[in-house]
Formats: sequence, C-alpha cells, structure tokens
Amino acid sequence: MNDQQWGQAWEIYGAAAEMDGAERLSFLASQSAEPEVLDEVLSMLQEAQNTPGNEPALRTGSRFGRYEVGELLGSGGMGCVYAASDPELDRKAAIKFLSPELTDSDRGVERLIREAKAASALNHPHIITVYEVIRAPRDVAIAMELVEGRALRKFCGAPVKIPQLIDWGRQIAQALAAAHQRNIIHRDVKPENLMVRDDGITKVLDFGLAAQFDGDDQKRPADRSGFGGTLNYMSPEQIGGDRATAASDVFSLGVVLYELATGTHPFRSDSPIDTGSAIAHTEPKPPSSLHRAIPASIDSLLLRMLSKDPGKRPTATEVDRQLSISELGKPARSNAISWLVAAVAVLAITSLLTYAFRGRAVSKAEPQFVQLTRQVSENRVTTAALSPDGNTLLFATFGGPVYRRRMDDGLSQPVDALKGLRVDRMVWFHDGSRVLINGSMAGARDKYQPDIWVMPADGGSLQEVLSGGANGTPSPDGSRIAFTSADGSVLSLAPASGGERRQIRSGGQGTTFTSLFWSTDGKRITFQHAEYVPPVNLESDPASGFAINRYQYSYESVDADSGNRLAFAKNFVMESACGLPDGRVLFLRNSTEQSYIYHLWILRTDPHTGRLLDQPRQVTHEDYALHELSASADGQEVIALRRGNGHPNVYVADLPPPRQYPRFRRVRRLTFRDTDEYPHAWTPDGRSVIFESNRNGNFDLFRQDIDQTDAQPLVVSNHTKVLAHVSPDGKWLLYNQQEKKPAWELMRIPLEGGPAAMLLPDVGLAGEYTCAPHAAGRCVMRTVQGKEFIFWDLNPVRGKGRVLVRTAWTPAIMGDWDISPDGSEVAIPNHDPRNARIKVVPLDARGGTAERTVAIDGLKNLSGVAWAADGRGWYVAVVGNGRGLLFYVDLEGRILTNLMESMTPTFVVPSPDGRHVAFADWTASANVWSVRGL
Amino acid sequence: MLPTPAPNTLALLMADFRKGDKAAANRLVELLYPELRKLAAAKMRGERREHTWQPTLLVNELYLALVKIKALGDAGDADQEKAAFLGLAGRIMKRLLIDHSRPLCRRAEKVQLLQMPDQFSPGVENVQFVDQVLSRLGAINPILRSVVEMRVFEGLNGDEIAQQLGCSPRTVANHWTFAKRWLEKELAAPPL
Repeated sequence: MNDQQWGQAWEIYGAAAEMDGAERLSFLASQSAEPEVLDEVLSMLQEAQNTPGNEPALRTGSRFGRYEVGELLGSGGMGCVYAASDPELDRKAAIKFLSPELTDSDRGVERLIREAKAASALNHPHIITVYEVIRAPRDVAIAMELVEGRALRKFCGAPVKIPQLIDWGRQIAQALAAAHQRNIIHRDVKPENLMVRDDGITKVLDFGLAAQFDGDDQKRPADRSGFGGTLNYMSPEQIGGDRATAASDVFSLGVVLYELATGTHPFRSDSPIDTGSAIAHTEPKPPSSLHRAIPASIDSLLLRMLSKDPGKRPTATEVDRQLSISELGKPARSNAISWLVAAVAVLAITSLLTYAFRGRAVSKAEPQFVQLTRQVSENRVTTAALSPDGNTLLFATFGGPVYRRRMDDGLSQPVDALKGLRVDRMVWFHDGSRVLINGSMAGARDKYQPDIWVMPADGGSLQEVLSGGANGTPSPDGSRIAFTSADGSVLSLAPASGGERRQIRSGGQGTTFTSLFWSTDGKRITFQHAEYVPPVNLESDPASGFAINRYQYSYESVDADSGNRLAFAKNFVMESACGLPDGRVLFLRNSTEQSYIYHLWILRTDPHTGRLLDQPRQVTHEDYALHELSASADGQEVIALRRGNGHPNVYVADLPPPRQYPRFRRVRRLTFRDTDEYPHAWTPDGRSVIFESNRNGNFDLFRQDIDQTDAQPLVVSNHTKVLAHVSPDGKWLLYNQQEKKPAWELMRIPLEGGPAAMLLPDVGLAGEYTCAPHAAGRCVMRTVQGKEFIFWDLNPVRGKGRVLVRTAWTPAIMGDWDISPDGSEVAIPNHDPRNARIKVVPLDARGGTAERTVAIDGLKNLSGVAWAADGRGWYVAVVGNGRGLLFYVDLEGRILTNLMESMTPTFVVPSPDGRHVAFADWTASANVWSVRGL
Repeated sequence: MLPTPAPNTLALLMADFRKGDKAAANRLVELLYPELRKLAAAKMRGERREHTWQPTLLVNELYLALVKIKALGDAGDADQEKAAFLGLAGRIMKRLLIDHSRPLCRRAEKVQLLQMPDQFSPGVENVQFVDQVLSRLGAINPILRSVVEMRVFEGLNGDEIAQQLGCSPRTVANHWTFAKRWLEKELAAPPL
C-alpha cells in the first residue's frame, strides 16, 4: 500500500477501533475503499482485538490467591493464561487472567463466568474443569484444569488419519452435545480451543467465554470488535450478526474437522473479508475431492455440518453417532468411474472452470483478455514468448511448428530453424537479437534430455549451447545463461556461448527451481523454489495413499555470483514469473493447491535486493486455466496462455513393424465428442477400440473401428458401466457395472452378442482388474489390504479365484498397473517426484523368480505403465510441468523412445497385434491471449 | 549524566568496531542501548504532548554526552569517529523498530540484536532512515509516531503512554496495533 492508502486505512481503522460491535459493523459497511485497504483494516481490527489493551506485566513468579503463577502459556483477546500450581491441593492448574476490558463491564464478565462454570459443572470428560473464580481488587481470574498436550491447531496443516479424525471428532462432538443439552453454547469452537493430551484425550476449552454481552441487553454476540477472535471458524449466521446457537457450534466443528481431514480450510482465502464472504456464500468442495481417503459417510457428514442453513445441520449428538458408524476403508468415491476421472483430472490439465463466488465487487476494473491465436486442440499453443519491445510473439504449437507473429497485424509465419524440436520454453535476450530455446529433440532415442539452444531472432541457424539443461534464462547483458539441471534441482550459470558451467545453488532430489528471472542489473537471479514434502501418512494409512504429491513453495532471490540468498519468502507460489525493471514481478498463482485455475498476480520487490516490498496483489479474478505468462521489457504488453474447456477423448496411433523401436505414427483423434471417453481394450482382431463414454448421460461401453467415424454400442443401459477388458480367449467382454449404489458388480457378456451374466456380485471399489488379451494371458484383479496389494486370479467364467501374489503397497492410482502379455507378471509404477521405478511382481511364485524393481534413469513422476504387446517393453506415462509425456522403455528401464507429449499423463492401450495404440487425451484448446488494462 | 560503562571500554570497543570487529559491535550495542534509552526518557520527561523528537538530535546528544565523560576517544579523526558512532546508533534504532514490529510469535524467538553487514559503512544514513520512517508515520497521524517513540525507544508500557498522552490504554493499544502493522510492512524485515 502507498502512503495515501495507509492514510485512508488509518481514517477507517482509527474510527472503527474506538467503536463497539454493532456500531462498528454498520460503520464499516458504509465505507468505500479499495479492497486491499479494507482487508488491511479488518486484519488490524482483528489483531487489535487480540491484543490486550495494556499488555500487562508478566505475572510469572508472582502469587495470585493461593496459586503460584508459572510460565505464560498464551494470550488472546480474553486475557493471558499462565501455568500455576496450587500448593494447598498440590495440583497443577492454569490461570486465565481476564483482560481489563472484560472485567470493566461487570455484567459481561459475570455472564461469561457463569457459562464457564456451568459447562464445567457438566463434569464431562472432554470439557475442561473450572476450579474456581478468583476476584482481586483489580483482576478477575479463572483457575482451571491444566491440560498438558497440544492444541488441534498443530495438526491442521496436513490430513490426519481417518481413525484419528473420527476419534477426536467424536470426543469433541460428545462434549458439545452434553453442553447443548443444557443450552450452553460454546460460540468459539476453533482448533486453538481444542486440546489433545498426549494420551489422546481431547478437552474443549473456553466454554462460553467467547460470548459477551448477549442476551438481555439485546446486543449482538458479535462482541466488541464486530469480528471477535478469528473469523475463520464462525458460522454464516454469526458473520451475519445473528446470535450463535448450538447449530453454530456444529458448523464451527465442521470447519475444524474438514481442516483436519483434508489439511485445508474449507473457505481458505487470502484475506479475512474473502473468508467471511466464502463462509457466508460459497459451498465448500467435498472433502473427498481434496483427500481421497475420506469415507463417503464422513464426506457427506462434513458437508451437512457446513450447511449454510442452520436447520439442515446435524446436531452434535448426530455428529457423534455418524462418526461412530463411519469405518475406514470406504472411500467416498465409491463410484469407480468418478475416481478414475478424478484421477486423470488431478494429474491432468483440466479446464475446470469453476466460477467461484466472490462476495465483493472488485473496485479496480478487471483486466481484459483478448484472444490472439486461434488454434484448435490438436495443434494448441504449448508455449509462447513476447519480444522485449512487445512487437513480436513466438509461439509453439502441439506437434507442429513454432510461429513468429507480428503483433501489429497478426501475420504469422513458421520458424523453420525450430523444426523437429519439441520446445518447452522460449526466452528472448534483452536486446531482442536472439532467443534462448529450451526443449528436446522430438523422438530422440536412448535418453530423455532437455537441451538449450540459441536462435538468432531473425530465424537464422540454431546453436546448441547447453546439453542437458532446462529453464534457461539469459542475463540482461546477454553474456550468461542461468539454467537448471534437467530435474530442476541444481541452478547453474554458463557463458551464453556455451562452455564451462558453474553451479551456484543445489537442492536434493525432489527440489525444483523454476520461474527463473534475472534482476535488471544482472546481479541476482530470482526463482520459485519447490520442495517435495514426502507423504507422512502413507506408510501407516494406505487408504489415504492416493498419489498426489505435495510441495512447499517459496520465493527466493540469490546473488548470481555466489548463490547466496538475498531475499526469501515462505509459502509463496510463483509460476511463470516475469521480472520487470522497476522490481515488479508478474506471475501466476493457482487458487488452491492442485487447482488448474490460475490468476495473474503482481508483486513489488526492491529492484536492488529482491526483497518483497509488500504482499503480492491478485490482479485478475476471472477463473481461467492460465498457464504461461510473458511480458515486454516495460511490462506494458502482457500475454498469457489460456486453455479452453475440454474432455478426454480417444486417440489412436500406428506403431512400426515388430523389432523396431516403437514410435507413434499418424496420431489421430478417434472420437469427436464433448463427452468423456476413455479407451480400455481392443477387439481381438485389433481393428476396433473398446471404450467407455458418457455420451448418453451415464457411462456406456462402445466399440469403434479405427477407420470409421461412428461407434457401435456394446453395452448400453441406464446405469454406469466402466473398465472393459477382453478375456484372453477373445470370447468375453468383462466390465464393472453399478446398478445400485454403492455396489459394483463384475459382469461378463459374449463379445459377439448375447445376454450379460454376473461374475462377481460386489467387487468393491478397489476391484480393479485387467486382462492380458493374448492366448497365453490371463485376467487378474488387484485389491488393497493393509499395507499390501493382493493380486487374485480372475477367471472370465468362474470368477475370482485364488490369491496369486501379495506385494507391499505403494501409492497408486486406478489403472496405473498392467499385466504382461504372457500373464506371468504385473508391473506397478511408483509415483514419486524424485525418481521413476517400476516394480515387477511374478504372479506365480512357483517359477521361483523374485519380484524386482526397474529404475528408469532421467525420469520421475511416473503415473502409469502399460506392457507392449510383444512383452519386450513398457509404455510409461510421466507427469511433467503440468502435462503428460509418454516414453517407451525396455525391460531394463532404458528409454528407447520419447514418444509424445500429451495434455494429460495418460495410460496407453496397445492393440493385441502390436500394430496400434489407443490412449485418452484432453481435447481442450490452448491459445495466446493478450492481457489488457493491467 | 551517564556514569555507566568504563570510559576506556567504550573507546577501545569503538576502535575495534571501526576495524570491522563484529564482536565489538555487538558488545557496543549491549552497552549503548540502555544509555540511549535512558537519554531518550530523560530528555522527553515533561516535554510531552504533541512533541516529537528527532532521532538524529538524540543520537548526537548521546554522542556529545559520551565525549564529555571521555567515554569515547576525542583526539585525531573525531569526524570519522563520530560518523561511525552515528552509523552504529542508527542501526540500533532501526533494529529496535524492526524487532518491535515483528508479530508476537516471531518476537519470542531469540533474535540477535544487531545483524552486522559484512562491510561497515560509517555515516548517518541509518539515523536518517529512522528519521524518515518516523516522519512518514507521523504524517499519517502524529500520535502514531509518539506511541512508537515512547514504546520503542523509551520502553514505556501502555499505561504509562496512556497517562502521558491523556487517553485510555485501549486507544494506545489501537494506535500501537496500527503502527506496528505499518512498520512491519514498511521495514519488510526478511525472515532471517
């Protein structure tokens, strides 16, 4: 904020701070100011609320009543809490000294003490016990049970295990239920007020203490500040200024449990006013969409607790009961297809355009997006770079050329020098004479390696300057290049002509340095530092092991010579950053972790030190799937890549004859629908793809000849059918069907027509199976039990048979594994951002072969593996930079072909004759848009 | 007067400090901070109400006081000596502002009082910086500035400030919350 804005902030804050609840609310509501000024005012009011008026002298070491006062445990709007000991009764206690503002108003303090005592009198094991109220001439203090443990706040950052959640949730719900029966309302349920002892017993603190001055005197319970304590756990009715009821406590508990279950606050936003608005207006996402292990019953329970309408919320007693009957092992998405779709969506670049409600008008005009390129999804724009003078745009298209476009008249011409390159990123030199090209040779054999080239801006011949580097960015004087290793974990410098590299910063496996840019004086390099956070719960809780990787992001600026850190900011997501000469940084940030909705943000930094001058400001609010940013040197012209809406559709490609390295030829789209279509199998003749599609409303099974434009229905009805596979003898088509939720049945139907028969009445969610469609092949089913995968024999006629093999569980997504064509082994990918490993497990132990792990050098983030039809290699899919890459590797893990880039990391379905593959890819277009009016 | 540190100690430390000895700098801070505080408090007593002081003047006075009791060397390159002293004093004040503007949770961590730069540059820019920061805050509202001065440099508590300013402790707290926030943003102290 500038001085003028601060002045305005003071005007509003200074006046509001002196007002009481209702008056303050209406005063604030009447103020018109820029959102950031108001946000600042609100958070200061909140802070002032939590600061005791006259930070009292430390009482440690003094005596109060008969208590000896010990260390300060905490302080807040209510006063300070100290540990204490009672020598008479020889017990420990906690003493809360109520702050003078409270004690000044005797009616308020009496009422509050009465409630605290009443709650304590319930003598409930999960409600803290109040020992006594001590009145001294100047102080009122409450002596109570000392809980030695931790506040639930400590556990809010990451999902807790489901049994843990249920245990804590039940204890708290029981405490609230007991209080509510006596008409005692807590009013301030939040993680800070919920303690868990080391023995696992939880205690609810501060019953009724949040309530002030309500009741007889008709004042709102919203208390002195108008925003008492924190807003984050308030119910919509409390935010609206209504009195808190038992249902309000249930809402607040819902927020707490949601946060514990998912690791994310359901109404998370950047400012108090947005959070308040979200609580009042926005429907939270189902918890299971954030964390897959959450059982359906808990999923719906939490959503009911968070109903905007208090009447629709369960009572605390119901919450306890619901939690008690929720068991582990029934993930919410008992609908397998939604799991599958979600799995792909999570890893994929979806164009989920969720128009989140924003409760306040944005006072500054929203920047306008004007479309520049008009590419369809098959040759969408993959990356783009604007020249420093803003006159020329380079953009690369999927599978096709890079174009040079004149910005004034739009004339575009292909750049021949870049033919055959798969371009990842282009960065102009500051004088506009040359362009640094990051990319790789399309279809390169033997290895996957990104390289860096320099291209004269006029399109002259390309010069490779760095082999095996990524994220290359030229220094302002054009003499040096900052770049990272292929995996992004090492930051180095090299002369722009190539030559000796000097490492200036390095992280461990799983570290990535991205969004590199130089300071204008060439002395600093700024970047986003992402640190992989290994899963905490996975080992002990396989059910929560859905393979979603988490990262810790920060902003970092280092000295270009020494690599010494000059500026740093924690928890700072900064994708696709453009540094401007005045120290401003334009960048993209997504609305929530895992979201593909990105907004444009701007950050002011000190141009000399790189230090943050204030908090970044969000400048676009429309929810678009933005994914790359480029700006002219003066920041006047800004372009962004924007994805459109799309669906997974079926694509096919031809493969070369046997004994040649597979390479995709004639990649073409088979289905042209605005619906979701996933291929799973081929007909035995290798002519038609068998796929599922929801074109008729629910998922049905179809087949389509690869040279035809129409699909034939295979199994069509009004309930969901998914996961089709063909039996090894080619006679049967197996599929999962859901006639009545939640049970899935495994069905069988003759491929050449005839009645369907049930093979297994309830396969459960994890009843994933696959078949090797070859004479020697077989079908197997995979289930999860404890820390193991179990592979079962699956006979197309007799059904589920014996256990073939068990192996240690690893993070997985549905359909990521495959069986070898001869039916002897299964291959399971790891999902790790640090390396790529395939575990090969023999299905028949009698062969005496042990399971083995195959490492693939140079890759990480495996998302799926499929066996080639001849059994001599695998098609592997990896996630990289928000897109999918497909490789063909041999059984020793050597990369033989870098097959293609897709929009989604996807699974490949080879035809049994080895002549074709089918796969799903997203049909969204992506184009360059100009951002105007920033 | 300022009887506390042995005169020689200060002079010797100043000499070491000017040679770039960081340990000497830290020791100097420990010695000088209480003096600065005392001086500020003594100076302001009875002069309150709408009155704000200039950090530059204050530091100058401290310097003169120390010279008077021969706590500092007085011969030779007095100008350089003084410049070095002013630089150091300015740093102390800036550091105090930064420490006070930290959120509570971070203030509780043990923070070394003075983060020394690799190279010490003598001069008055740091005092002037403190001057500028305070006058910008004063431009928003003069009371904000007074509250910061009394709290940060004189070490008064809320009640004492309220008495001096003739208002309620709550009002002082409200002002302090705002000023703290403003300082935090303005000084943009990087997490060290």
